[in-house]
Amino acid sequence: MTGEALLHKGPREGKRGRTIRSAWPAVCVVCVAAILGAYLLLIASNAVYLGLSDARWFITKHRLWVRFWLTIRTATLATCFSMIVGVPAGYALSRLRLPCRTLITTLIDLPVMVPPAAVGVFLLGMVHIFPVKHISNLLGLSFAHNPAGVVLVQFVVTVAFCARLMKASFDGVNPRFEQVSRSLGASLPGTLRRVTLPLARNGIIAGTIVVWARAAAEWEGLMLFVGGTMGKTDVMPFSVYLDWNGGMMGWVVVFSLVCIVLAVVSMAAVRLIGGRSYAW
Amino acid sequence: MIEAKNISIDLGEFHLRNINLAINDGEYMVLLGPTGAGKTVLIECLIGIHRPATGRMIVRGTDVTGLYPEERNIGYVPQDYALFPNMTVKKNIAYGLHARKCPRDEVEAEARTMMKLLGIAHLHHRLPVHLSGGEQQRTALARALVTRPRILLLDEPLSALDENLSGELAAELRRIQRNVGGTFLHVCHSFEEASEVADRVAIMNQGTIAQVGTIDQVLSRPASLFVAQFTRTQNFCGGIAHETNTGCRIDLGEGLTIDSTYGRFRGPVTAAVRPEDIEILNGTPALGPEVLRGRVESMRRKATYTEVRLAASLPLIVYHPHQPGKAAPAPGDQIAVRLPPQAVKVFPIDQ
Amino acid sequence: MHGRRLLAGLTSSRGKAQIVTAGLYAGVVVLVLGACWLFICNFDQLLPREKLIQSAEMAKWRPTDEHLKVFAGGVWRDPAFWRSVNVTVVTATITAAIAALIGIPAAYALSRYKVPGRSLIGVLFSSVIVLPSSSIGLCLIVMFQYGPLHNLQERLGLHVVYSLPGIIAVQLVLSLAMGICAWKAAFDSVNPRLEHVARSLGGSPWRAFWTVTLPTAKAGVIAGLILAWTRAAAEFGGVLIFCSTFAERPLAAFSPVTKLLQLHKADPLAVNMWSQIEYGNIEYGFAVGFALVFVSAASVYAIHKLGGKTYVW
Repeated sequence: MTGEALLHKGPREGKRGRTIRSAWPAVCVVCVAAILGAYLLLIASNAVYLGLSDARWFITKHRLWVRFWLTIRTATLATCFSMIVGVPAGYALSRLRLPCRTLITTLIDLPVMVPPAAVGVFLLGMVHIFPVKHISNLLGLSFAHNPAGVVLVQFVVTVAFCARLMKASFDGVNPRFEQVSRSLGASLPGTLRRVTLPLARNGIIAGTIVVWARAAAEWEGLMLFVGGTMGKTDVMPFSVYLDWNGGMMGWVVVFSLVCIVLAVVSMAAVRLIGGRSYAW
Repeated sequence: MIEAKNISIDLGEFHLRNINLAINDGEYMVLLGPTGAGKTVLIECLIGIHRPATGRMIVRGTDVTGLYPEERNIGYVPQDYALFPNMTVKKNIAYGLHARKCPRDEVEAEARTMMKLLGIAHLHHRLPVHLSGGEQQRTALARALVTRPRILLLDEPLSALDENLSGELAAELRRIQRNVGGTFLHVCHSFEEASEVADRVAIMNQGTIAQVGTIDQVLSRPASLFVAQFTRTQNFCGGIAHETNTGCRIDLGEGLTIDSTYGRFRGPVTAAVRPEDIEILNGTPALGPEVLRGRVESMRRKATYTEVRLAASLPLIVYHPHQPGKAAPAPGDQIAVRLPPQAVKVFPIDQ
Repeated sequence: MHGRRLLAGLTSSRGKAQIVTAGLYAGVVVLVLGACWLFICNFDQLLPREKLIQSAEMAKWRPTDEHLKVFAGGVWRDPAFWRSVNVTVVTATITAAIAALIGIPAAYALSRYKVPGRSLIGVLFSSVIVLPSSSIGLCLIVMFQYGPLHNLQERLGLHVVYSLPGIIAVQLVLSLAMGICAWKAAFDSVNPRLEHVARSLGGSPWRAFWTVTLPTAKAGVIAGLILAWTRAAAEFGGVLIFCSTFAERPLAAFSPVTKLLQLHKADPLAVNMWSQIEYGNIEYGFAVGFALVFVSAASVYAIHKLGGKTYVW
């Protein structure tokens, strides 16, 4: 058959006489709406339960602010330490040729995926042995019942996560820029300072905020490692649990609300800074 | 007959304004235009990906404006061919038939016929990632043609290929179109490519259609300055036109005038002549409104002609075809050329 | 003399570059060694050690085995451990299935359709991922015990709090958020032109999705599934607040289905680990912790094999 005037035969209709409009797009949109509604309900129910007048009463309480500032301080300190290790590690993972690359990336991903409670448990064992014991002796710190312990847990949980995020930011910078800079005579530290870091700046700042939010939300590791000493180690997420055990429903809701506000504000900041470069 | 009537749409970066286009059955129409002219947007409106803000599209008597893409029966071959990577060549081609729930043996027969027609029967079990550029294009064509669409839309099918291959495949596309007797709408940005395959050409610019016509019509009577520039008319110059009996006489300043039979114009105009229309004269004829004399500045040898840059009363580019026994003028020579009045195109400046 | 030369070498431009490079490698080394040491230094907890159950609370955990000799390295001999694993696997699987059923269409819509307020939705989903689990558990408590869903529950005769569906609900919150991020990225990586062509050939939107988009994005979708499953299995804080430990609940509080599947006698792995340590059975807790690490390591390996990402940013 030569196919002469094949197309003049007219279009193929097949068995389907009337076209059936697929319901798939509607299904998808309904799913999005349902999930969105569920999440909004989740978050809003807290606020509704508390009520505005109660909220005003709680805000004036010293108890709230002690824990709030403790959370902020420990999270910021832990984020700083994470960045000190994480940024260079992220750059190395992104650019340098490392031996056993898959093994290293698996090992670095592990602390991110392991539940933080397990990490806290393992820290229990690690704190009595080299090197942590020697460091704590040297600095005169004690990790149990102490904000230093909180910072340690937050650091351990976020450092690998930080390295991963920084790797992603540096991956977003075209290595071509660095090659041109080196070919023009700039050294490696100069290139890093003048070319790479400014280009990756948005990604790094956004990554820092994400790491901070993660550190501020960390409490499961604290439960087992540090114990809940009032005023010293009960950061806000931990206070939620402690007060829940104590039956103080009002306080629990307040702490929970503040945590939610912190999380939303940090993610909004990330969105404003990082723009398109993140998953959304 | 496929018609687009008054199509307008605004998509931010790209827009269409009042597109009116009619394509006859069995015709090979090429949609030309520079990047950003809106060619791909028009194609996507025809397929049904975008819904135009105004206007209607009528395909063989059916108004398809309100229909979903799967109901329009319009074939589409995108620029990167978009072969389904998880399916073999045969499954790709059979996709449309399966979607229409055709019986299995019919699907087999049709797919095999189409593969044989396009010469890819030996590739039926291969995955798209193992095909060459030309093979991918043929598979994409087969996939679109097997459902017998009312019209086949090809988005820049030859842009990704190198020169030799694209020439071959252009001829191939033409042959296939003749063979199956279908209507093709081919989008590209290269006038040379269009002249190889088109029955008619539609030239787009910034969301509107500048001119529709055969290649000869577009070459000999460009509707606007943009069309003249796009079709590689060179030798533009500005002047004042005065009406005459046969057309107009354009005063280019410094006593230089040229005649044109393009139309009766008055006032400031731009005149243009295609390089291949200018005749190189032997001897030393008298000067006049058609004849100019000048010195050859430089030459560039192309495959079948020589491009001669002339510093006459106005700078000119002339093509001198290679002829045995007739040498091309050398740089520094004084030569005379004739601008035939029927070859001078005139465009009023307020366009 | 040597010191001066050394100093000169270090401060020269080449020397500085070497210092910086060393610093970069040092970062990776610290991370890798730290991660290894964190897990390795606790291996001694797995060594055989006989320990009799002493406290009365421990006896509650194993109502039939009073003097069970447990040595942590042999935790797999303890049926309670396997019941715990059972609960974890069952709840995580159900959660992952529900998350896939709802989340994949949602991710597809967010990827392809112009849903209004996409950036706000993105902020919301990212916030849920960063929320502390105690907050999530508490929000669920407020919703189900004091909020609008309380009356609905009463009327339907369900008890979501302190029960197996409760565990699934808590796990679902985070599982969905992470899954949607991963699946959206997977669908974003598929060229939309493939779907345009499929539709122009006569395929309905569902057919285009099922036969073209999903197979092309297969690796990413499966990676997202594994991520959702692992996140569900690792959920600890929320489950603790919303459902607390099952050992303390009276039998009547559980639905017949739960009792049939023997799921009421144990807690999910993470909660189990915590309970054991709280009650003093530290080696057992460590062993359960290692089990969790093993599960996570398997997931990380599987996700890497599929070429996906284990983090959602």
